Parts: sequence; C-alpha cells; structure tokens
Amino acid sequence: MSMEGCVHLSEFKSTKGTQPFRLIYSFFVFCTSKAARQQKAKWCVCSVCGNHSPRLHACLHCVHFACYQGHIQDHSTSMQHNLVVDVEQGQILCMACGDYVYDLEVGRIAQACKEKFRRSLGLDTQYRAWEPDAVEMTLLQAHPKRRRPAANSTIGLRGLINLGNTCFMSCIIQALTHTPLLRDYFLSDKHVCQFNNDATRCLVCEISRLFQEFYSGNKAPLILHKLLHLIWTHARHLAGYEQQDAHEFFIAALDVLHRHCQGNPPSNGDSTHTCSCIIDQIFTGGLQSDVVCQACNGVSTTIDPFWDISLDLGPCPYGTSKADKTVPTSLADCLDRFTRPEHLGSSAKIKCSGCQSYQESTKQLTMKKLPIVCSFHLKRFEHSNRLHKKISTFISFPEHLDMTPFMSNRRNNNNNHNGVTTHPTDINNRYSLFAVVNHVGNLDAGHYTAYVRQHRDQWYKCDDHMITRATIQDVLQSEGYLLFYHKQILEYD
Amino acid sequence: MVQAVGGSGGIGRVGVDGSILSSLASPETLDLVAQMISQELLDDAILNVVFEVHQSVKTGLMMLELGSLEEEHKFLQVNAEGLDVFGQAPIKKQHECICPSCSRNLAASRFAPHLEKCMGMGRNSSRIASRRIQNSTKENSHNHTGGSDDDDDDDDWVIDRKRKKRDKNSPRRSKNAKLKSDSISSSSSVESTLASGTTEEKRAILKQICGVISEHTHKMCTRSLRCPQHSNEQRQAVRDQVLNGSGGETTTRAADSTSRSLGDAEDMHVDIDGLDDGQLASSWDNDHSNTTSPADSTSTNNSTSSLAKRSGNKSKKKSSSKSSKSSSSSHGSLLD
Repeated sequence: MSMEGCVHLSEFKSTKGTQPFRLIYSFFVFCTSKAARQQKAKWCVCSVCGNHSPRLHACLHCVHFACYQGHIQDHSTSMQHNLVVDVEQGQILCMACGDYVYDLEVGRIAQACKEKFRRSLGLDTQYRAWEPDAVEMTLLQAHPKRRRPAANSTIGLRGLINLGNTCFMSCIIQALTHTPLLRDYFLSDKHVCQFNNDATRCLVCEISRLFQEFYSGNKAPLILHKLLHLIWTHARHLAGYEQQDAHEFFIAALDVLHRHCQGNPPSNGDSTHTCSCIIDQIFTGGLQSDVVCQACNGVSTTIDPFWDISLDLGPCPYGTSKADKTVPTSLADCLDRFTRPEHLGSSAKIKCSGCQSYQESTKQLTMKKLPIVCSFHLKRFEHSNRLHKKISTFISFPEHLDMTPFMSNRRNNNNNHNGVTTHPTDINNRYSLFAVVNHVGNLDAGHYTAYVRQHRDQWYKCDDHMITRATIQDVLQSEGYLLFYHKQILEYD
Repeated sequence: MVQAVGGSGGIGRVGVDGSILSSLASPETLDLVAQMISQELLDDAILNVVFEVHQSVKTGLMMLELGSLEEEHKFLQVNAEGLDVFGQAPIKKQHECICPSCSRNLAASRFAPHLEKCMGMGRNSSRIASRRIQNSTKENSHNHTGGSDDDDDDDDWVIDRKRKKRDKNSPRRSKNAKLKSDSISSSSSVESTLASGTTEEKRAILKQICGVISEHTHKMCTRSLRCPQHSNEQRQAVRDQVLNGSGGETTTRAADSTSRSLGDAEDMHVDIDGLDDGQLASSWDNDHSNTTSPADSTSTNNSTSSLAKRSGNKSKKKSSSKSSKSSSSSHGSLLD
C-alpha cells in the first residue's frame, strides 16, 4: 500500500515543504476562520469564466483558481504547474500523472484543517471510515482471509451448555452477545484491560473472548464455567448456586462489567456523573422523578441513572381511579402506568422545601435520557404478603417501540394540557426489539430461554445448547420476562 | 479515474454582488437558484464518496480490506426437524470442564453446584465451615456420637434448601433435595456392605460402579464401569483389593465416600465437594468402635421419618433425642 502520492508531489514537498498545503487548506479549502471564509467567497472563482463551479481547483505553485472544465488544465499546461488542489474536497490532482494522488502527510494536514473548520462552524465530529494503522495494516496483509457472514450463516450463533440450572446465565449471555453495539465494540477490539489482559480476573476480557468464540464459526456449544466463576467471584451477593433469577443476574453482570471497564474515570466536565465506559454508554439512561407537594404545588426534581425498567403487571394495590384498577395488557400500558403520577398516600408525607412542612405529595417518573439499549423487566414473580406467585398474563410487546410518549418533556406537557397532543414523534426515540428472555414453568420449577435477533431481522430461539430458527411471530407471542430494545438511530458525539 | 465525474455544468450564472437579492424576486429565478444549490450539494456529497473510494483503491487499502473470502458453505444453517441450526441433534455427549477454582476436571452439567461449594459460597458455606470446626473440637474431646451428628447436619441442610426454594424462584430444587435424603438410606447399605458385607454383596456393588480410588481425593469413583477417567487395570486393582480384603483403611474410607456420593449417582458423577477427608476418617473410626453403627441408625431415621411418626414410641429406644429431633424435622419438610 502506497503512502506517498507521486514523484511530482514528493518533489514539490522536498523543495517547498508542507507550508503551501497548510496555507491553502486553512484559507481556501477548509476555512478555519470567518475572515478566511469571506476571502474564499471573494477569491474562489474561475479566473477564466468567473464561475464558482464546477469543481474549482487552486494551483499549488501560484495563486490561481480555475474550474475543472478545461481552464485549470489550460493553466497547468501553459505554466508547467503540475499540482492543483480541489477547493471543496481538498484532494490533490497531479496533471503530470493525470490522476488524483494521496499522500499521507498532506492528508493529515487536510484532516486537521477540516476538523478545525467544522469546529469553527459549531459542527459535530464527522463520521470517518475506519483506517488501519501501521500495525493493523501488517495484520491485514498477514491474514488475507475475510469472513462475511451471509444471512443464513451460523456465524454469531453458539449454544451454551447448562452447568446445572444455569439457564438464567445462558439467556442473559445470549442477549448480551446479540446486542448490536456491544458486538461492534468487542469485535473491533476496543476494550482496554486494567488487569493486564488477565482473563482470569477481568470479566470484560472474558466477554470479549466470548464474542470471539461466537464469531469463530465453531459449532460446538460453549461452556461458560470461567464466566460463572468470574461473576461469582466479583458479585458475592449472588450467593452461588441458588441464584436463579435472570434479571438479578443481568444487573449483577452489568455491574461487574461496569466496574471492570473503568479505564476512563468519569469525565470531569460532566455534571450528570456519567461514566464513559461502554456499559454506561449503552445501557444507562436517566430517570426523572418529580415529587409535587399537594399543598404548594412545588416540584422537586431528581434524575437517577437506570439500567433497566421494572414494570408492574398486577392490578395496582392502592389505586383509586379507574385507570389504576385495570390490569395492563401491553408494554405500552405498563409504561403508561410506570410514568403516571402516583399519589404517595397520607402515611408517607414528605418534607416540602417550598412550604417547609411535611405534606402529602405525588410522584411521577419519566424518561429524562434514553439509553441506547432499553431493557424492560416484567415483574412476573410476585412476592407480597407471604404470597408468592407467578403472573403469567399475556403482555403484548411491539417489534418497534416509540418511547416519545414517556419522555419527561412530553409527559409533563400532557399533564398540563390534559389532552391528546399530537407532537411529532422524535425519530431518536424509536427502538427495535432484539432479544427476549422467557421463563417457562412456575416458581418451583422453571426454565429460561431466549429469543435473539441476528442478521438484522432473523430470530433464533436459544434453549441452552439448542439454537433453532424462530419467527418474529413466535417472539411476539411469547410470554416475555425481559425485553431488550435497541435504538434505531444513533448519534455520533 | 475521477475525471469521469463531470459535475453540474450548465447551471445559470449568478453574480456575486447585489444582483442575487433582486433576482430572488421572481419565482423562476428563485427556483433556479434553489435547484442550483441543491445540485451543488448533491454533487459535493457524491464527490465525497467518489474520492473516498478512489483513495482506497489507489492506495491499495481496498484490496487489502477485501482480502479473499472464506468459503461460506461451511457455515450454512441447517433447517431440519429435531436438529439445531448447526445440524446437530440434542447432545448426548458429556461435556467436561476444569474448575477454575480447584483445577479439577468435572462434568459441565454439575459445575454450578460444584463451584458453589468449591468457592465456599452460598448459605451452605458457613454450615460446612461450622461443621468442620465442630468436628475438630469433637476429635479433641473424644466423647461424641460419631457420624450421626454429621448426618443430622445433612438433614438440616435438606430442609433449608427446600425452604430456600420457596423463597426464591428456584426450579428443580425439590427433586434434588429429595434425592439427597432418599439416597442416605440407600447409600448407607452400600457403605455397610462394602465395610462388612459379604464378598457377594461387594461384588454386586462393584459391578455397577467404576470404584477406582483417586490419588488426590482418596475417594471412590462412582461413575459407570466404562468411566473414561480410569483404566481397566485400575479398576481391576481395586476389585482385587476390595474382594481379597486387603484394602483395610483405604477401602472403608472409599466406601464411606461412595455412600455419600451415591446421592448423585444418578448423574454418575462424584460429588466430592461437601466432604472433608479428616472428618470422614474420624467419623469412620468411631463407627468401627461402636457395635451398632450410628450411621445406620440415622439412616433408618431418615428413611422412615414419616413412618417413625406413626409408629411413635415403638421405634428404637436407643435413638437419641437428637435423632428423633431430626426425624420430626425431616417430617416437617415433607409436609412442606
């Protein structure tokens, strides 16, 4: 792979250095200041026809602008000035070679100017395709085989051996390994270990290794004994073999992963004490809690981070209104109930900062910040008043979910107007289902299975080591215990 | 190469000066200007991609990234009844793994329960620890009733596990717990058989299990006769030893461990975890000193716990208050 442009460009650089590039880039291509932009608008016209287009080029040897419709070519042949630069794209055209040429050093100068240019206009960082560095380049050369999993390929799927009632772990691992953003993170080898890559100590390294295993093409089921050992070592409260709840395991696994990820300490400027680790980037959202004093209507607002949302299924125990009596039948119902103002009752008076006295109040939870992966936990296991039962009612959940109605700004508006307002749904709040964990059986004897999405729209049922094809109908008709949704559109920041 | 991209020539010329504003007055020119701007933006966007591709081709990066494709047919999914997507039938093969904690090789399907004990975790760990302490103090005082204490603890353990199951949503626990309590009675017969039974009875037991005594744990292997971990020579050696009566201490210890691990004999794997060598040896020695084996009497209590209640005082007078307590408590657990 060539890093040098061409002989003509190299010759030019050796006689004049890189300063001409810097000047031209920062003044006429990627203007880094307002003054430069004004200069560019004034000067960058074709010196022959006076047009701004098409594809205006600047001569590198002298101050001369001309369009690509013959005029820059004319200048080049008459003056023997071989090198010209496109003033919009910044690419260098060598007339002697008859083609655009790419030089690593010049490319870096252009990139630096471009970033400065975008910042000066208040624009975000632009997406750039991955470019291998020197090490990656040699690796690519040494390993020419490429794998491109087709839609009907088994790559990315792996059965997991049950280690003795460990289906709660298998189903969570299946959900995690099929989380698109987490997969991209690990397959692009982004994890920097704080334990010197000691896979016997770092859970993140172990998950990273799992991704390698899932995508290795090996068809034999995996044995997750090391993972179980690591989680039990780092989350002692799980108390071993008796821990059977997939939801509890999911939260514990995220917690251990989050602790092992903390290569970067929480960024200093951030007031929301958010951690920059991949787990927090993907799974952490912000839940706003508004407590309204019934006496003075004063609102006290707090925002708490969350990894998942636990939703009640049974009838509301102390609700009075009609809405509280109805049993939810869909995920939307559950979320509606979750974000509804709740009267805290006369027994739970809270000191209001407005009237400086203990008053009855209402509390409302809303979504302040949505995570990239939104996990919902349907509380199917009820433990109250010495009564332990499983709620098996069917809760419908959609393949695509819009969280806009449950956002803080939206929900609070609705309360004020008390009517159906037709806000345009924000496209950034749209989610797609990618994994569902199911519990079959009852409290005494049961089994966990998972449905996962792979290859964009294909579904698979994971029952320990058995992976079989499923349809979206199978998934949507299943009972649902944990539901995992992924954002449809991601923003670069 | 890029020269093929022509750009949007032929779009009307608009002066840079004030004429822009005046020309915007008429809808036609407004349309024309709008079209020109959108054309230019589009050209720009296209050109951006063109240059990106051109650069990666020219620098050779594209070829490098493309590489040569792997054969895909190796990874095609199978869609057949009874098979998974890999084309595999439900596994019959036992998978094994090495415990990261104690480096023992064991069946994957038994790993979680093993690890719990191996790491000394869970609610049983304190129980095991306290049992150990209790035993070591007893060894010093020399006046205890031997294995019955030990089995009492086991009994307690069973109840606790059952109770736990109710609290948590733990499936498949009841079966396990039941098996454990049942096995104590059945296993104790094996234990006594191997200790004092006739040669015929010993032979019958050794027809069912591998029986090789591990060098590390000094316990008997309770897997099937075709257990892959031990050779036929090893098995033969054990049989010679046991049947010829030259085993002595080793045999009885092995027998003891066999009896306890038979609780899991259905899985044909050694449950070697909850046991303590020293403790076993000491309890076994005591069993020998007593004419009536305490292990036997406890097992009777266990197996007939429900009957014991019915037969009431007719049950053996010699059963201590401790064992009767254990029988009633195990009865309670059955009611649960």
